[in-house]
Amino acid sequence: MSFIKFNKKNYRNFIITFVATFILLIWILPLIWSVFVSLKSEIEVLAYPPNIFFEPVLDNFKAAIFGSLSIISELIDSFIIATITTTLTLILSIPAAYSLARLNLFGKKKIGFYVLATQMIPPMGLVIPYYLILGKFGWLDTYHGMIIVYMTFSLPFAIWLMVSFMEDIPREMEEAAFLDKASRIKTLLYIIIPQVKGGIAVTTIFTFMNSWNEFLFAVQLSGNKVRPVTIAMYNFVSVEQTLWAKLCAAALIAMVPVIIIGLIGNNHIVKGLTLGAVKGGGRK
Amino acid sequence: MDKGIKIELKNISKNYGKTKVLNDVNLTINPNEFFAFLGPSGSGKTTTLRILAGLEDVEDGQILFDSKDITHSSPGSRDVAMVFQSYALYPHMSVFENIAFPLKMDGIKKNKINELVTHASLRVKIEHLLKRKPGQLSGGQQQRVALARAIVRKPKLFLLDEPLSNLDAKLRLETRVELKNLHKNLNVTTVYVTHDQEEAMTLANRIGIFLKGKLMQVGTPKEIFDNPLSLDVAGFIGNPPMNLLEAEIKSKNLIIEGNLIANFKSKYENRKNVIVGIRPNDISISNNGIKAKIYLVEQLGDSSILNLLLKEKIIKCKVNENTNLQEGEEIEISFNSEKIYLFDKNTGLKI
Repeated sequence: MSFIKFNKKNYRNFIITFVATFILLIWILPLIWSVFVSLKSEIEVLAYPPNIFFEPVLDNFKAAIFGSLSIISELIDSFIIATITTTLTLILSIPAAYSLARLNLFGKKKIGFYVLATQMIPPMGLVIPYYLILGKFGWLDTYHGMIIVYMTFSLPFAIWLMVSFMEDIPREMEEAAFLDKASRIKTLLYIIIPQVKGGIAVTTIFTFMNSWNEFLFAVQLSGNKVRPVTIAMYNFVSVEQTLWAKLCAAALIAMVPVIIIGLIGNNHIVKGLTLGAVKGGGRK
Repeated sequence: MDKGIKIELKNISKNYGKTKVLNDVNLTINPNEFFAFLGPSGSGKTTTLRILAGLEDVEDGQILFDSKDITHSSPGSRDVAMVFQSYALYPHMSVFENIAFPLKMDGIKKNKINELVTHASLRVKIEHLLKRKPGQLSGGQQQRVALARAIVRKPKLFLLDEPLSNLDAKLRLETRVELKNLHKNLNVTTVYVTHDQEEAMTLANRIGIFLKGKLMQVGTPKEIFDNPLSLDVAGFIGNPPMNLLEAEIKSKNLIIEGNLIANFKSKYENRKNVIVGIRPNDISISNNGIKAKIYLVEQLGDSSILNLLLKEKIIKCKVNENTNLQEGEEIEISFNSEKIYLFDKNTGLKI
């Protein structure tokens, strides 16, 4: 590989690989630590100095799935919230992005800016207003409450992302479709959407991941009847003790859906990230 | 055979912001005619084509298809087909699906679609490519797919926006002939936009010359070549275009830079501010003409263009053989007085 010949290109590759490995290690270290801890018994976890060699057990995973502290119902809650949020986000953001990218709307530039501006507000500043608003409607601790809150984050992002994908499609493509007697809706369905599949994949993954991983709003605005999986981690933390091994096992289980979606959309997500990078923002 | 439609443009004006891109265009295109819009880039020819397609609104004026006002109807309702300069093929569909798309939108049944697509693809010789995606085709093949998509549903009007400009020179010549044949067989009104005079001259029944947002002159290729009505058209048509030189008429003599060029029998009064137009072919080397110095020789293979200095003016002269004349030599030239065009310098119109 890069070690065979040390010409300039190989040298470059070597450095890139080295740096990438280093960054990856920083990211993956807590994960590896979690895997180890999740395979230990609760007593073993607290051993000092920590034992490198130990007998792995699967009890913690069993406890996290079937035990009294099971996170299954939380997984289901998270799945419901993330799936509906993602679906609604797609249904709303595609036509919205199309109109921002193509139609001559009144105040289009301003709308575009405000859509993006909502992303600039720090989430902390929104927790209390959202709490009050949801409280007034009686939507605290409900699925639709959480879905609406998550959509206030996912929609602007999704619209902004889809606009940059749609602006990449030559206008002539649509004009050709109009001349071929396609209506605007049919043009969107048959010509535009198939060509922004990549963007849709990226939007799906980001939206799903963000609502799945969200903690701050989940803990403040829900937690009793509706319990997203991020909150479930608190099952294992109490005043007397923290069940580290079970906590790690639960965290690993909670990661699985995200990892699966990430693997499926891997190609698209890389494309989406680099596309955004090259276009430098997308919106004009 | 279906009959193509008659198109009328009445007082069409179009602005982009404050820029006037089309200024009072009036034009009638006859049924089944092959009509070319010719002009340099930015002259408004493509805009006019897009207005015909319904892809651009007009600020002012009226468009009639067979005497029916369609000025504000949508592109889809006009029953026109267009081949874009970029072809605008749908990249995610196969060639078959691309050609079938207008039929599908028209709600035609599957069997019929198969039949029509096969027919159209045979016509432009791409029947072996139907399963491929546009990205896997060469430029020439893509162009044929675009043509097939346009002809498949037998439109009333066929619009072509510089369809040959992305092809290499050899393919362009071949496709030109095929386009002409296609038009003959289809018998449909066709509007063709190009900046290439040769293309317009060889393909079209009639040509409209666009310059700076105005339709300057309409006529058959021969009319336009032989009888340019204004300085602008005279300076645009021909390769190389006409020489345009300032001159004056004094007692029936035409004088350029102090040299007597021609003698008119009558009809012209004494006047200054005349522009003389003469085509490079109509200037010849002679023994007792005006003195000129060779500035540059352009060899074309079967002919050469001499760039001559007449006092400080450069004029072009085309001679039909490869010449041994060298740059810097002094020669004598004479103008074919029957092929001289006179224009008024102030109005730019033919005298």
